[in-house]
Amino acid sequence: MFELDQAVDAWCRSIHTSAYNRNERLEELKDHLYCVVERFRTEGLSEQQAFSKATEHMGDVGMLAIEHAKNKSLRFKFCQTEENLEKWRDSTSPKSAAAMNIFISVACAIGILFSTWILEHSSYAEYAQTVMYLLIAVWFVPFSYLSAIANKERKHKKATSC
Amino acid sequence: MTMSKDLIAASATPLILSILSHGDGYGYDIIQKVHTLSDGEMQWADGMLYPILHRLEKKELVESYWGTAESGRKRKYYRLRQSGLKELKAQQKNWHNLHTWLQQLEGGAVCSN
Repeated sequence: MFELDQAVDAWCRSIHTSAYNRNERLEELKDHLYCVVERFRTEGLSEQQAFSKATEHMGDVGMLAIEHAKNKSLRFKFCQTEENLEKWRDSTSPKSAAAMNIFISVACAIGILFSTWILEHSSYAEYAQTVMYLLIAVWFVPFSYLSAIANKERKHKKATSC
Repeated sequence: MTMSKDLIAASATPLILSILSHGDGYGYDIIQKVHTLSDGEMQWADGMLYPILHRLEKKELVESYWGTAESGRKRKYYRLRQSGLKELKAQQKNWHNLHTWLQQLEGGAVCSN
């Protein structure tokens, strides 16, 4: 048995994972979808047919995601960069991926050590160790957090595309 | 005759701003107005309108507020801001110039050096 409300909700949520990141945008999209469904219903279509035609009218989900990507927040853009990096890792040889990982880690480590060394040779030497710990935290904590979000979104996308 | 995607994309902003200059509107209503105005020639994918509206809102050319539709559903309305009206005037001037140049070329007014 076709349930219009469930279908509208599921369709909007499938867009939500790939593009929308705010509930109010989801509400706006739902209102639009209901308006189009109502129009097709007045033309004599069944709920299911009207819904199917309405989603066609909304456009290709992939194209919508590209359009919405232009409006995304910095956090979302970071997740996408992270995802692209992951795709690159998947498509490239394990050796190159490992080399890239090592390069990024070494570059960050050099940056942290260099900043600490500069501090040690300045009048703020007593803060050098604290700053080093802070920089490690700054490097590690947000990147782990954002990577976790990117992973979560990737898993969600895989689940909805199946 | 169907219009090219590039032309549809380029004309979307002035059309939206122009429609909103006649009064507040919501997504579906804007799409219907464009459809009626162009006699069905302007084929917008409905979902494409919202990223454009959100960008216009981000640029502070339009502002939005929530209302309630007759059906009782929550509905987001858009209103043109002063900066939006200014932008509309500038875009109208550009399109008018382009139209004039094309007409001049059609009439054979091509400068030959």
